[in-house]
Amino acid sequence: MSDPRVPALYRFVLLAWPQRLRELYGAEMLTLLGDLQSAASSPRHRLLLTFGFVTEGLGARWAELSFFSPHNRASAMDRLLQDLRYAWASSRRRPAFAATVVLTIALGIGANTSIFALFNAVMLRPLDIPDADRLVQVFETNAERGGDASNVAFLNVSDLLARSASLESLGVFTPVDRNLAYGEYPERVQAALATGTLFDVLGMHAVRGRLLADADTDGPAVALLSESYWRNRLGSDEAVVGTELRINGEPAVVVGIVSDMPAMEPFDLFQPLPRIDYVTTRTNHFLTAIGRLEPSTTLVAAAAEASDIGLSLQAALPGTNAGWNFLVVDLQSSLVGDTWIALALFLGVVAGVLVIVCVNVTNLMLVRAGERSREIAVRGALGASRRRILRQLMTESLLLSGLGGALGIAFAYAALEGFRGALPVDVPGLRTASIDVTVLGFAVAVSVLTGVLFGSAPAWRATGRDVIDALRDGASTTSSSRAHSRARRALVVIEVATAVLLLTVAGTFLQTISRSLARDPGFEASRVTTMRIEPPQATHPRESLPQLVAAILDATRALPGVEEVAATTRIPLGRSATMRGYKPADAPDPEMRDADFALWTSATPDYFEALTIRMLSGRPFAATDTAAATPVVIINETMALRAFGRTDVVGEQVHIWTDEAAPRTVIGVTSNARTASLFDASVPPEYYTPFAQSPMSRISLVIRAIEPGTDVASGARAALRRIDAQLPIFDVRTMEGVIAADAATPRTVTSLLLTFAATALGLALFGLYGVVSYAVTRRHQELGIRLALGASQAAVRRLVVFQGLRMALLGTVVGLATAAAATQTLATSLNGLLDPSGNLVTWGAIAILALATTAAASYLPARRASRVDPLAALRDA
Amino acid sequence: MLILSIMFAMNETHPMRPIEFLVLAALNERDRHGYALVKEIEARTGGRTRVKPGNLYRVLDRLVSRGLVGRADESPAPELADARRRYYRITETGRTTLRTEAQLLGAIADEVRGLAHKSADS
Repeated sequence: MSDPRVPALYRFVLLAWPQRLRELYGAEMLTLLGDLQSAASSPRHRLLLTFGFVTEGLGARWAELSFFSPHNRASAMDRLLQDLRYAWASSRRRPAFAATVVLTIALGIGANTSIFALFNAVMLRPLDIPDADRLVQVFETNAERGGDASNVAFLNVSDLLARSASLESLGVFTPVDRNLAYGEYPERVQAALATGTLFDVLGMHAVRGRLLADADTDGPAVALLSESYWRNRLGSDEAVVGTELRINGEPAVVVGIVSDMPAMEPFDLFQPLPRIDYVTTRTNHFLTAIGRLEPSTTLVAAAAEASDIGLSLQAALPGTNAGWNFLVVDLQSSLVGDTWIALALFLGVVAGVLVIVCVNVTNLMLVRAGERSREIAVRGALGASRRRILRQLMTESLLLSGLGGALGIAFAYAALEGFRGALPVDVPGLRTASIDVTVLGFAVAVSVLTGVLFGSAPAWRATGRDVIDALRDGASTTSSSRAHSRARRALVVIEVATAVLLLTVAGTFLQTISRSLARDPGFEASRVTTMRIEPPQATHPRESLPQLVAAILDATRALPGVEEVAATTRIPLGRSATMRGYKPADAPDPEMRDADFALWTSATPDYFEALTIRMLSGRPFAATDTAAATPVVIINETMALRAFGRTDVVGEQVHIWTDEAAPRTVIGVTSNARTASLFDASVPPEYYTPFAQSPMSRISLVIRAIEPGTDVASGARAALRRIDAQLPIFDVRTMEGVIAADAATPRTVTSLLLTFAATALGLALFGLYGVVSYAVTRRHQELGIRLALGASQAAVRRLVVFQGLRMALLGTVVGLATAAAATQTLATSLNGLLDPSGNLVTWGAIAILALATTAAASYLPARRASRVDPLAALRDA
Repeated sequence: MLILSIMFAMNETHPMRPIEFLVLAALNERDRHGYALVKEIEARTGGRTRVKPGNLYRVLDRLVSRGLVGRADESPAPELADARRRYYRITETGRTTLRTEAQLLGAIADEVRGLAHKSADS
């Protein structure tokens, strides 16, 4: 426990435990928890340990309650039933009050439970793999190249496995796209080239036939199909095992059907990782490595050992391994990545909503307790102990919060069903989030906590009053009731502040997103359809690709309704992106870590025309820019500015360093197009090379139609079949669809935030209305006297509205100040998704919204106040 | 069979949970502190039983209150003494109980094995 802050947190956590155990074993338990935390394999495991420790402590408290000791059980049960019956009866006497409380709590608990269900699915629930906590992902890092975790090179991890005592087994794979033909026309599938050990590590088994074996690497070509592909695409055809299909035009025998790969992107097809020169190196870091630890070891030990092995490899192989070392991370953390930031943000937001809920209900309960002070005093006078009355009132609160909790769980269930489809797919567990035992436990715990929180203050206050005083009903202006209303007003200020904070964060998100989407992307998406092809090397070697692409473009351009067509290796906002280092040709070679990298796109001459990307100077590619001609390049504005400090750079030379030997001549500069992400604050450098000079088999066709809504895909597919019937077209999308997909997750996040923020504001208004109404009722006589002494109705209305506005103003100021700090913090951790600058208009609008709605909420009671009959008020006095 | 029934009857008053048995067995060898107990139990059960920190002390609390375990006054190796760690030691009653429990479990295992053989033979 080197971190000095940890023990304080632990001491806090210890409070969950019953006092007796805490006194006897507290220090030891903390020491043990600390030891286990230090040995834990990941932050997630440490979180789980702490979480488990707290729930265990609460469980121990529950078990130690006298209720459970046998001799108390009968009478305690009787008392509980009696209290419950009484609570039920008293709630039924005021159905509107009970319904309001239950609904308010249901909202708060529903929001919290649904978000916690997501958090649970991603962070707490183990992966659906046997002994998932022993699974690790191995990366290689190189401090000289920035120290980012990169994939691994085959020989390096082979050495790691051979020398490591901590790793039980290790499997590696690399994803590839394949054309799979099991019938007349081939289909595009997601495949993985994998070692046989991968299946064992991930607990995958053969559903039919067998898995891949070591011997398959050198033998005749074989393949494994995934269970879901076999069931969904081949209709569970039993005959497929043992038959031959064509993968990228070459025959391969299906040796088995394997259960689906858990927790990661599901592959359709597995083939043995070939031991070709490209694979068996120490320098091609492209493999994903997943290992299983020995049961007796810890992640910390395994990581330390891997690091030692990495250092010894560095020393032994300075030529290939200089600077490279291993990084071992537990698999779940590695898969979850940064999602926890968004989840934590949401947990914070719904916790804010819950605070408002508690505050509101506390206020309602305070009012109710005031109304019931006579009843409570009578019970006290008849001999009920304070403890007994306190328990009765707490039972009522807990009954209400329990009903609210049950309804809230139903809300959460509906909400989860509702937004499941809108969640990103690539985070394991997110889409399978459900209300399981943990989530239910959470909901119950929150309900009880809510009940205790909102029930205890009013109950304490109600039972603390002097009996005689209460019976006399001195309800008007005792000092305790002044303290009462101060507390209520403070609570309203907190509510308004929380609502304003949430609204501001949501509003800032919304503004950032709409600003990003409103920005000119630098290319024209309307009427553009994209689709992919990937000609296999066996039938279309690299050097023949320019001819093939030219033939496809000619055939497609001749289709009716097509205005322009081009081919590229990367469409804007496409998922695959290649970054390469660059420098002006005459500049000295920089250190690798200082190098500047640019996005690379290889495109045919009409690409800029098809996507309407503007040329600032120079010319687009021409048919004459062939492999034999001078190497040329077109760069975007950012790259021109970064490399040369100006944009008129046609004729300059750029070196794509270290990937190409000869420099390229700049023939054109384009305006900046947002091809990486619509949400980037600035456009990264990008360069284009002619497809004829840099052909790749990963090809996208970009087709602009004359009329919107034209179906160009089927025409293109037919045209392509005439050229090569074995070449499938896949990933057909409109460019507008691509843009919508890029914005989908931020949109979901923002609409959820806005919903929660609006709920918060609604609840806060409701709370404010309650407090002002109550104050008007209490000041009935005072207002009557004012009116009798000649105050106008308008003056009385103003008086009341101002009272509400004072609270709202204070709440708004506090909320905005907190929001200023919160958005700054979020902006740094959400990188680009939230831009806190220049949002004064949003902030002003939110302040006005908060003040206007609170004024409206105070106006209703104010109107009532101004209609007080002075005579009646004076008579009551 | 008779022995088994008697032992069951004897044990009825103090049924021992598996985790209590494991803690006693781990202490039977030598005095240990909390972390050492967790690790020992994990090792003995091949990683299948991971005692949670709170649960360990609830078990120890029960064993102490039944007089089966006591606190060791000094750590077995003074040079390893650590003020935050306390060592636990099995008492004579604890040893007897552990032995009885072990015999009982052994007898049950024999019975079950006998049953298995019979069904395999028939």
